[in-house]
Amino acid sequence: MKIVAVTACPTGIAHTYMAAEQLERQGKKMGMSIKVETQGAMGIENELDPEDIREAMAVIFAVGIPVQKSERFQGKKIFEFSVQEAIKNAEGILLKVKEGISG
Amino acid sequence: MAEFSFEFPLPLGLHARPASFIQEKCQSFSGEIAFENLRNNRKADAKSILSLITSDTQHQDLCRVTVLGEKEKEFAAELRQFFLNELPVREEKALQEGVAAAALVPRIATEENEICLAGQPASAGITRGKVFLVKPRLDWDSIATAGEGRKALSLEKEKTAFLTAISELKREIEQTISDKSEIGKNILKSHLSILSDRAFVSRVLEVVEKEKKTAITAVARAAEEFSQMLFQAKSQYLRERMADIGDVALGLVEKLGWKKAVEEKAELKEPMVLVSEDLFPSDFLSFKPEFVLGLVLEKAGQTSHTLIMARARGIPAITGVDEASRLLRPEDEVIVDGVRGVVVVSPGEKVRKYYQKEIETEQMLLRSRQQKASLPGMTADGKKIEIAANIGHPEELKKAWQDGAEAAGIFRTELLLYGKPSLPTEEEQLKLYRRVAEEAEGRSVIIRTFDIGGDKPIPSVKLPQESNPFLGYRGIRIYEEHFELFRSQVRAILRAAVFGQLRMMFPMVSLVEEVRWLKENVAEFSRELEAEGLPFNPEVETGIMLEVPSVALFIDKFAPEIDFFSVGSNDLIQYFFAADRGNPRVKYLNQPLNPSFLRLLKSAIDRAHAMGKWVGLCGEIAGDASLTPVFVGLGFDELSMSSNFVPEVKLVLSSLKTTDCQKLVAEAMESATAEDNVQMLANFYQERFSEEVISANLVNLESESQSKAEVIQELAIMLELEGRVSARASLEQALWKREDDVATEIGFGLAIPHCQAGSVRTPTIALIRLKHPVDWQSKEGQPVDLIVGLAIPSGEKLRPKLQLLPRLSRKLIHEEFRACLRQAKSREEIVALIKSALAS
Repeated sequence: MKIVAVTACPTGIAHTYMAAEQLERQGKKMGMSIKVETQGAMGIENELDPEDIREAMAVIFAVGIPVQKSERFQGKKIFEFSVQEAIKNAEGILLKVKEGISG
Repeated sequence: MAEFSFEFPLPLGLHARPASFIQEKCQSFSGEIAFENLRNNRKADAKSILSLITSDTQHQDLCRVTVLGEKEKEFAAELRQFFLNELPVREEKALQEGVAAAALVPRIATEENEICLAGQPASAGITRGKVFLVKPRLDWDSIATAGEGRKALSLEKEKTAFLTAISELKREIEQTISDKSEIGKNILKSHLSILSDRAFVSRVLEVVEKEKKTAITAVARAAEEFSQMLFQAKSQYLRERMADIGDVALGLVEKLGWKKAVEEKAELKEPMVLVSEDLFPSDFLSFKPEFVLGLVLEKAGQTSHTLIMARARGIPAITGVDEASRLLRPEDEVIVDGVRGVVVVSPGEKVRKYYQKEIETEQMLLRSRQQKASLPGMTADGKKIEIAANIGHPEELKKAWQDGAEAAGIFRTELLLYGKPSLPTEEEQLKLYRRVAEEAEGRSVIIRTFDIGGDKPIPSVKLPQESNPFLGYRGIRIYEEHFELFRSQVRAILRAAVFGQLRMMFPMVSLVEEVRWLKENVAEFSRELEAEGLPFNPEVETGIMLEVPSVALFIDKFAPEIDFFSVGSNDLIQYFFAADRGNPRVKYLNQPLNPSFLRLLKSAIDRAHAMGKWVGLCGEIAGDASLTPVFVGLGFDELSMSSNFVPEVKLVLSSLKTTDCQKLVAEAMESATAEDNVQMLANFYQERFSEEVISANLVNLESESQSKAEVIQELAIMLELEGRVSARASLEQALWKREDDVATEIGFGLAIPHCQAGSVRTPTIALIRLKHPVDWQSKEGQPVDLIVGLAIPSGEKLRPKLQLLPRLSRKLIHEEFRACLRQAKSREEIVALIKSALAS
C-alpha cells in the first residue's frame, strides 16, 4: 500500500520532523510504503513528485498550518490530522487511513 | 415590583469592573433597583458601584434583583438577560484586553493574578522593596481630626454645605473635561460617577446626621472607609477607583474650607523604592544613595538626568507607569523589574520565588559584564583600538568608566540645551567641562561643539523653518550668525582643558575654508583669553566630524589643518546614499555594509593614516558587535558607542586578528551588494565564533523546577548566562507564545519548548531533566520529566546549523535515544549523545 504525507507546524523546527519520523517508522512497521514531505523552517524538503502522488492511494496531512502547493493533491483522498496526533498516535492514524481506503 | 433571581456568573465575583458595568446599565432606568445577595443577605443599590462591591458577591452566589418603577417588568427581563449574557462577555473582553496591554509581564504573574503596573524599562536591574511616596498622600485620619476641631454648624447647614460642595465640584469637572486627554477624561468621568454615587453620598450624610460630625470629618471618614474596602481586593482597577475617591474627597474637603498644610518633605530612613510622578535631579540627589532601591516614575523622559543618574548608579528604574503615585500606597511591597518594565504589587509566594531567581541571574550577568568590561581595547594580535563611550551629559561618565570605556569619543553638548529657555554662559559651561575633565581622570574626552539644526531644534536658538533641514542650516554653518554661541563654547573648552585631557571637534564641516575660518577664530579666542589673563590650554587637539562625503574624498587637504577625524556614520550614510534616515520608505538605503560605502571609508582612513592622523567612529553602528570585524579591517583607531555596548564589543575585539579582518574587508569591497556582504560577514562569524549547538552549561540533570513556568524560566536563564540570547525576557515570551498555540508536550514524558526569536544569537539546544515531573498544561495532561529546548535566531533559513535541529527532533522519536538521555550520568555524556545524534 503506497501512501504520501505532508507534515508542517508553525515554527517548523521540531514537530514537523517528529511527525515525519513517526509516520515513516510506523509505516514501516505496518508494512506500508510511506513518503513524507516536510514543510518546515528550511522550506519544503523531501518534496513529493507528481509520480509519488499519482501512485499514492491516500494523502495524509499532519499539519498545524495550511499546506503549501496543496493543488498537487487535487482529486486525491486526503486525511487530515494534527501534527501532535501524528507524533502521539501514528499507529491510530495509519489504521484509520487503511480503513478509509478500503471502505 | 418585578424581581428575578440568578446565580452570579462571573468567576472573579462582583468586583469593581463588573460593578461599573451594572451601574451603567441600571442608570438607564428611572426607578429603583435593589440588588440582594441571598448567601449573606447583604443588600445593595444597583446604581452605586461602591454599594454593589460591598455586597461581597462571589461566583455562583444566589442573588435577587428587585426593580420598582415605570415599565418595571420589561426592564427586569432586560436586566436578567444582561446579568446572564452580556455581563460575562464584557468581563471576559476586559480581562483579555488587560493581558494584551501588559505584554512583557512574566507569565507567572499573570497566572497568579498579581497586580502589575506596566511602564518602560529605564534602568536595568531588578529589586524588591517597600514603596516610598516622594510626595506623601493625604492622611484622612488627620483631616478627619482637623474637621472635628472646627465648630460644627447646624446639622442642616453641614448637610447643605456638603451637597453644595458636590454640585460645585461636579460643575467644575464638567466644564474642564472636554479639554483633557483621553486618560484625563476617563479619570474625570470616574470622579463624576463617585460624586453621583449614592453609597458615598449617603455614608457622608449618615456620619453628619448620626454622629454629629462636620461635613469635612464625614467626607474624610467615608473616603478612608471606601478606600480601605477597595484596597483589600487584589485588582488594579480597584486601586484606580481608590485613587479617584481620594481625589474627589480632597476636592470636597477643600471646598468645605479645609486647607492643605505647607507640604513637608518626607524623610527616607531605610532602603525603599521611590515612587513619584517625576523626580527632579536635585530631589533625587537629596536622598541617601544607599537608601534608593529603585525608581518608579510616571513621566520622566528616558534622557532625563534623574534616569541617567539611576543608570550610572545601577539603580533599577521604570518610567511611564501611568498613575503610579496614585495607585501605589506607602509601605506596599513591590518588585521593580527594570528588565521588563513591570512593577508587581504585593507579590505572592510564586512570584517572589520567580524574581529571586531573576535577581540572582542579574547579579551573575553583571559579574560577567564587568569581566568583559575590564578587557583592554585590543585585538588578539595586539593592535590597540580605543573603545570609547558616547555621552550627552557629564553624569553619564561614571557609568561609561564602569562599562569599561577607555575614553569619551563624543560628548554631544547640544543635549545640554534642550528644554532650556536660554543659552548657558561661558562660566556655566566652564564649570561643566571642568567637571568632565576632572572626572575623566586622565582619559580623553572629545567635546563636540553644538550641533544645532537638522533634527535638533532647541528653544534658545531661533533658526528659520527649512524644507530640508538635514541639508540646510546646521552645525558649524550657523556659527557665523550665532557667533556668541560658538565663542562662549570654545572659550569654555580652552579654559577647562587646563584640568584634563579635553579635545574639541566640529560638526558638519564640508569645506576646507570652513576649517580655516574655525581655526582663525579659535586662535583669536586664545589671544583674547591671554589678554584677559585667564588660564587656558593653548594646545587643545582639534578634529572634525567626517559626515559629509566631500570631506571623505578630500582627506589629504583637510588633514594638514586638523588633528583627527571622527566618522558620524548616521549622517555620512544618509548623505552618501541620498536617503533621509528617518524616512521609512527609503530605509533600505541605510546600508553600512554596502561595498561603495566601505570603499569610501577605507580610502579616507588610509589617506588619513598616510598623513599621520587618526580616525574614529562615533555613529550608532559602532556599538554593533557583529560589525566590529569590519571596523577593525577598515583600520579605525577608535570606536565610540553607547557605553552599554562596550563590554560586548571589547569581547569580540579581543578574539579578532587584524589580518583576518583586513582580508574580510578587502573581499567585501569587491562585492556588488550589501546583501552579499551580510552573508560574507555571517560566514566570517560562523568560522570564528561558531559555537556548538549545546554545551555542558546548557544541561541540567537535576532540575528542581516545580512547574512549567519554572522550567521555561530556567531555560531562558540558562541561555542568557551562556551568552546564547541577549534578552531572556523576550525569549521567555517567545517560548510561551509557542506554548499558547499548542503545548509542546509530545508524549513519552517529553516536552520540546522551542521558538524562533530575534534575541537568540545562535541556534541552541538545552536539556533539562526534572527531579519531579511537572504538568505541561497540554490537552492530554501527561506529566513531563525530560525537556529539550530549542532556540533559533529569527530569519535564519539559510544557516547550515539549522538543519541540526530537525535531525535532533527526528531522533527524539526513538525510544532508545530517549532512554539514553534519561540514563546519562553526566552533562558531558548528554552533550556527546546529542552531538553524535546530530552527526548521524
